[in-house]
Order: sequence, then structure tokens, then C-alpha cells
Amino acid sequence: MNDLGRWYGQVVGLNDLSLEIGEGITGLIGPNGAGKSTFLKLIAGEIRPSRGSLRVLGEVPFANRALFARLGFCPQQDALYERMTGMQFVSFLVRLSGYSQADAMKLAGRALERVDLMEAAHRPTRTYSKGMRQRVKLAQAIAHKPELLVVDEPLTGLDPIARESLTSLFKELASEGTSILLSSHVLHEVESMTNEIVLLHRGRLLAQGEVREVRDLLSRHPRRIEFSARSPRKLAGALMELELVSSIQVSAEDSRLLVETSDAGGFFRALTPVVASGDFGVTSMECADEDLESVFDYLVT
Amino acid sequence: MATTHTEVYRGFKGQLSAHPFRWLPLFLSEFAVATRKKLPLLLLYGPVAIATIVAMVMVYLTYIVEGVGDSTESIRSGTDVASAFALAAVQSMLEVRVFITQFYDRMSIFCLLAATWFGSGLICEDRRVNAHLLYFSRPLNRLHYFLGKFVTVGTFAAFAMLVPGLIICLMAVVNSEDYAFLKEQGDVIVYSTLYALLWIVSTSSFVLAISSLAPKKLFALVGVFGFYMMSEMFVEVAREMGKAEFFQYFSPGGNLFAIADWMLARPGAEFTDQVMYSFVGLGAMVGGALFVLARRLKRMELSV
Amino acid sequence: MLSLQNLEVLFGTVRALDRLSVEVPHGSVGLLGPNGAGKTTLIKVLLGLLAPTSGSAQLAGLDPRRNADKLQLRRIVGYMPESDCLIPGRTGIELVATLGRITGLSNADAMTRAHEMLDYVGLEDQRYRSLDQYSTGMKQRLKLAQALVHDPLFLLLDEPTNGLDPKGRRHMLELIEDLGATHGKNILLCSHLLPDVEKTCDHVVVIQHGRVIESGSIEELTRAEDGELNVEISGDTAAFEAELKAASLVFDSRGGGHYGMSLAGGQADADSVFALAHRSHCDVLSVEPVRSSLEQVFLSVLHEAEGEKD
Repeated sequence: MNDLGRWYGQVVGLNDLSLEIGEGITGLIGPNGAGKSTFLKLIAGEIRPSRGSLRVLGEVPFANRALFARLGFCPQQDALYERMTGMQFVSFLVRLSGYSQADAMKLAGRALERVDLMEAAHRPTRTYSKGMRQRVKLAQAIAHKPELLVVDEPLTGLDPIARESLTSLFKELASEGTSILLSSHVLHEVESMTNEIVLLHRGRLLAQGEVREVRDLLSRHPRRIEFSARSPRKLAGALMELELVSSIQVSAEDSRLLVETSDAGGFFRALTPVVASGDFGVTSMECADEDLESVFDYLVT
Repeated sequence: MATTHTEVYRGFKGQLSAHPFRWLPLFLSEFAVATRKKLPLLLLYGPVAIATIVAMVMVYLTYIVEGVGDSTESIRSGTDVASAFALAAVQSMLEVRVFITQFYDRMSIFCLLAATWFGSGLICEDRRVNAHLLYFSRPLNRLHYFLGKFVTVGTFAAFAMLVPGLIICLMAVVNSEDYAFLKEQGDVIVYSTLYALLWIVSTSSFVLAISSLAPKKLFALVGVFGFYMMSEMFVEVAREMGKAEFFQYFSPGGNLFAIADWMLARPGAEFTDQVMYSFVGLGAMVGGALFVLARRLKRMELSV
Repeated sequence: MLSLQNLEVLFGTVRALDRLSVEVPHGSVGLLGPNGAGKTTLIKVLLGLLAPTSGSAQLAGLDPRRNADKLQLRRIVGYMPESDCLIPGRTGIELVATLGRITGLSNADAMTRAHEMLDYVGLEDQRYRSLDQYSTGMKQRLKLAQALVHDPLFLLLDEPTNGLDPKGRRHMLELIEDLGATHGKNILLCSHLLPDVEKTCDHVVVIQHGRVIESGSIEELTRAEDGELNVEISGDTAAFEAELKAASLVFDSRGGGHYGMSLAGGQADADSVFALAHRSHCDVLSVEPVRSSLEQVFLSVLHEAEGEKD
């Protein structure tokens, strides 16, 4: 089931988008107004593309009841039926996807347990805290054991504890074989869950794939590698000899060294023998712009 | 980490003043915002302006026409010219006096409308958008906040009742010979001003109290009108049942009109028990409104 | 800068702050804690809005319990609330200038400062626009500008990066960092996003159930023992592991060429790793001393405190 979704063409808020999304967790990122929510609503079948076509789990999602049973959607809006208890809310929505009352109760109970909300399950949702509201929304999305879970900004405004418990829940679900498409504003949050990203900007697909692979494609920006060493100047001198190094910056007071190279692989190959043969006291060495944040910055200008 | 802002932050070298009128900027800003929309201003104060101009003309005409008419009559009947003119002048001043009291009575409805429209959003909207967080984290306490809001409503109410009234009074004074109106009928100016202030203060307190209870402006608007209508209806019903004397003290309008009957008809009218009860009734209601306000503002301050 | 002694706040029988004592140094401080830990109550006490039941708090030598200090306190504090609290129907410049006047700036000063602050936060083009048309990012920046208008010594920032996209977040963090580092503001930052705190603050105070359960510099809290390394290599990993074994180094393989290892005798530099890699014909891709993130520290501190309670 690699061929999760496919859509072509122009839709509201999105422009000429074609891509495929596979299993596991995929992070959907982009600046405000990039079309993330539109994109997720399209997948969840809440709106219809004005142009082009789209398949989710092999089916056309718009108003497709059969598909709804295989898909869980957790929207960004904080909209609950305030009078219902958590249990009633979740079981009610589960029944909508075609389960009997008894089954719905059982599934709802199990889902609430997963999101750790059993204690509050029989309280009206209007008494819930922000974290609990997010979790009850998530419970209704996972209760019917969907193959694909679509979540829009699930961690916004939560405290670190709630954040951690939801993050590990997502990882758990993914390891059980649920595909998860998850949008977020907070890049390190996405990074803590997955390396697979889809980056939207101005309604267009800007990048897709594994973060490091995406970074490799950005040849316009030289790689920046940061060193800490006891003798930074000596190390700089040695590195100067390497052909692939295009610039070196030394900041002696905190013994740091910033090296730019256009070919990271080649650089590392040449680097290891140099460091191994000298006495530079290297205490750390890492890529300064390989993380999601740098990739995001390079792409979204 | 090197930052590349072009923005520059500069410190403030001067001193922050601690003057006691910290509510003034709040009032000025509320006033500026409220007067930005021209249509409500036009709808409310258009009629007020027209009424004021008409009243000014009428005051002017009272002096001219009455004076001329009476004096010609007097001359014909053989009295001496000077005393005839004097008599006519006194008569027209008395007429103007009555006219002024009637004018205040009529304009009170505009006072109510203006206070309601411009005042009902003042507190509830702050609470709805959490603006009180910005105010109460500054050297502004509940009293300053209240004053800022109160003066705002009061100003709008004053422009609907007191200011037109004072213009008419001024007209009456200027047009009378040797400012005789001021000397002979000056008390009416004092009493009508006090009466207008009673209206302004009581309506403003009611409007603000209801605004502090309502979740948004529309509800506060409905609430204020509901409050006035209900209290009037209550009095009407009581009157039908023959108990008007007592129940009228529960209506702000009833009380105010009862007070007007005494205050504006002075010196002829007597300070009856009924008038006293009206004062007590109105005072209790305003006190209640201020109490509600104090409670609500305290809660707002603590909800930061 | 901020010193709290046995601060206690009771709401009826609920103890919102429970004998809270802490000394916070000058500089940027992150105030951390789960929801309901008492952060908001502490802010109310610091603004002089809520009188503590017992104990005392001092901010720059001013005591919010003394009436005379209460209003003075709010002159030296700039508060950026978490919620959207901007009054519709006003322009940005109007709001900031009005709030400046309320704080005690003269008309002319308020206007000048308001313009400068809007420039500083990057709202120069939107200053005459009505607040209804502001986006989340613009609102957050405006909230910062209004907190700065009277040039306070102390800034209370409550979730300043909430709802911002990556660019907006970074801009906000840069501003906060600049204010603390370049302009000498003392900052108390409440945030659920611990990487933000890590980036902008030197010190953290963690509270839970109204008590301080940890306080210290981030540098110290996140430092690991010397010689603990995370290493990534590419090439013949089997050969590399053999070399590691030969050098009798303790290591664990995390797959994909990632290793965690501890160098003998707490050795600080990693030259030997390069040597070993070179010998096994591998390339070193990264070497970093193990550092726990603030997030990890925070969660473990909380769990520990929970454990003690039980």
C-alpha cells in the first residue's frame, strides 16, 4: 500500500500539485496560508477538488462513505459538542461510520483508553482542558481503526507532557501500520516524529521526501559544517589544503570553525584521514544546515 | 549567533509620569474610536442637532414676536410704552423658561439612546477580546479603568442632552435684554443642568453595568433596552393594579420624571415625600449598578 | 532580579502556589511547567494583581504587596499575554500609543516610542492598518511592541511563539534574544516549546503543583558527562565496530552508522574516533558530545517529582 494518495491539478488553495504519499508518518509543513489545511480537507473528503483528481487508498475521497470508514480525520478547529461527554462524543462519531451502538461503545472506550482519557470519559467535553480536547478529537479519529490518519496541527498549544504523550502515540500507531499525515508549524516537533516531509508553499509542492535527501538536492546552498576543536586555527590550516573546501570561518574565542563545501560526501572522505593524522583536539563536528529548519529556510524564501 | 535585523531598539531616556489622570488616555482613545464611524453619529446626533436649531429659533422668536405683539397691544390700550415692553419681556422670559424645561424633558430620550449605543460595547468588548489584559498589566487600576469608560459614555450622553440644553439656555440669556434671563430666571439653568447630570450619571452607570455582564455588544444593547422597557412595563402593570405610587420607584424613567416634576417646576413645586422616594429609588439603582460594576471589574482585573 | 520567598497563594482551599522560593538572576529566564502548575498565578502576583496569602515576592526590589510599589511595578514590567487581546477597530499605532500613554508616557513620547517599537518588531508597513486585518504573526509582534512601548526593565512573555509559522517563530525568537542579549532586558519567558526556551534563555525555573522543582542554568542542566559521544559514520561499519572493540571502547550501535560511545577516562576530544574510522576505511559524518535536550531534562525532572510525591 505504497500508493496512498495521488492527485493532479488545480484545487482551491492549491496549484498543480502532484505527489504520492507512502506509509509511516509524513509531516506536512509550510508557512501560514500555504494550503496545508485545504490539502488535508481534500484528503479527508471534506471538500472537492475544483480541478484534477485525487485518490486516497485507491478511492475518490469526496463524500465517499466507504472511504470514511477507513480514514480518520482530526481537524484543527476546536469544535466539540460541548454538552456530550467524551464517551458520547466519540461513540456518536464512530456510529456515523457504520458501527452498531454496542460496537461503537466498545471502540470508543478503547480509543479513549489509548489517548489516556478514560478517567474523564464521562464528563461533558466543555469541562475539558486544551490537551484533553485535542485528545478526544484524536480519539474519534482513531476509534474505528483507520488505515490512514489525517491530523491537522495536533500539538498546537499543548504543554510538553501532553505533547510527549501524543507524539509517542503517533509513533505507536505508525508502528502498528497506520499511515499518518500530520501537519505542524513547529519543525522540531515534526522532526521528532519523522524524516518524511511534504513541504507546501503558496499552494505548490516545494519539496517531498526524506529531509536529508531533500537537502542534498539543494546544491545551490553549500553545506556548512561546524567544528569545535582545541586548536581551531591549526585545523583550519589543514582543512585549507582540501580541494572541496570553499570557505572557512574561524571564531577563535569559542574555538569554533565553520567550513563550507559544495560536496559533503567528498569532504568527509577527505576529512577523516586529515583529522586522524593530526592533533587538533576535535570535540565536535556536525552539519549546521542539514536539519529541517535549514531545509525549510532554504526552500521558503 | 549573528542577527541581521535592520530594526533598531532604542531605550527610553525620559521619565514615566505618575499623574492621577491615567484614565484620560483611555477616554480619549475610546472617544476617538467611537467617533470614527460616521453613520451612527449622524443618525443619533442629526436629530439632536435639528431639534437644537429649531429650539434656538423658537427661543429667538418668542422674544421677538411675543415682545412686539404684547407691546403693541399695550400701547393701544394706553399704558406707557416702557412698562409695556418690560411686562412683555418678563412674559416672554417665563415662556422661555417653560420651553427650556420641556426641551430637557424631550431630549432625555436621546441621552438614553446615545449612552446605550456608545456605551454598551465599552466593557463587554474588552472582555470578549481580552483587552483588559493589556490595561490591567499597566499602572491603571479598576477605578481608572472605570473612570475612563464612564467619562466616555457620559460625554456621548452629555452631547445628546446637556450640551443642547446649555446652548438653548445661552440663547435665552443672550437674547434677553441686559442678560435679564440670567438674573431673573438663572435658577432654571442650574436646575436643568443638574437634572441632565442625573440622567447622564444614572444612564451611564446602568449601561456600563449591563455591559460588564453581557458577553458582547449586541447583548448589552438588547439588555439595556430590555431593562428600560421592562421597568416601564412593570410600572404600567402596577398602575393598572392601582399601585403606581409604590412601584414607580422601581423604574429609572419613572423616578427621573418624578424628580423632573419637582426640579424643573421650581420654585413653585414642593419637595414632597414622593420626590424624596424617587431620589432614594434612583440612588439605590445607581448604587446597585456601581456595585455590580465594582464586582465585575475586580474579576476582570484578576483574570489577567 | 526576581526573588520569591515562601510565596503562597490560596484560592479557598486550593493551593495555587505552595511555599514557592527561588532566586532568579538577571537575564533571560524560562518559566516552565505543565498546565495548571501555577505559572499564571505567579504572573498575577508579579503584576501586583493578586496578593499572596503569605510569603513575599520581590521584583527589582519592589514588593507587589506594598501598595506604593504595586503601580510602580507595572511601570517596569512589560507583559505580553498569551491570548489574542487586541481591540478591533483600532490601528496598530493607535493601540500601542494609547497603551504607552496609559503607562505614563507623554503624548509626544508615546507616539515616538510606538513608531519605534512597531519598526523594531517589523510592523512598519502595517501600523496604520486596523487590527481586524492582522494575521496571527502580526498580532504576536504587535503584542510584543505594546509590551515594549514604555521600555520596561522586565518582560513577561507568555507563549510568544504560539501559532507562528517557522519564519514567524524565528523572527520572534531573534527579537527576544536581541532584547535580552543586546538591550539588557530581563525576560521571563513562559513557553511550552522547550527548544524556544533553549534558544533564548540562560536559566530555567521549573514549577509543578505550585512548587519549584528545578532551577538552574540551561548550560548545566543539559550538560552530559565528558567523553560521551554520538557518532555517525559511513562505510564499512563492521570493520569500524571491530576497531572499536579492539580499542576496548564502550559503544552501542543504533543502526545506519549511528553510534553512541564513551571515550576512556572522560577524554574530551574525539581525535581517536577519526583515527579508528580512518583505520577501518570509514568516513566520520558527525561527532557530537551527548547533550540532553531541555525537553528531556524537563520531562525527567517532572517524572522524578511525580515519583517523589507518590
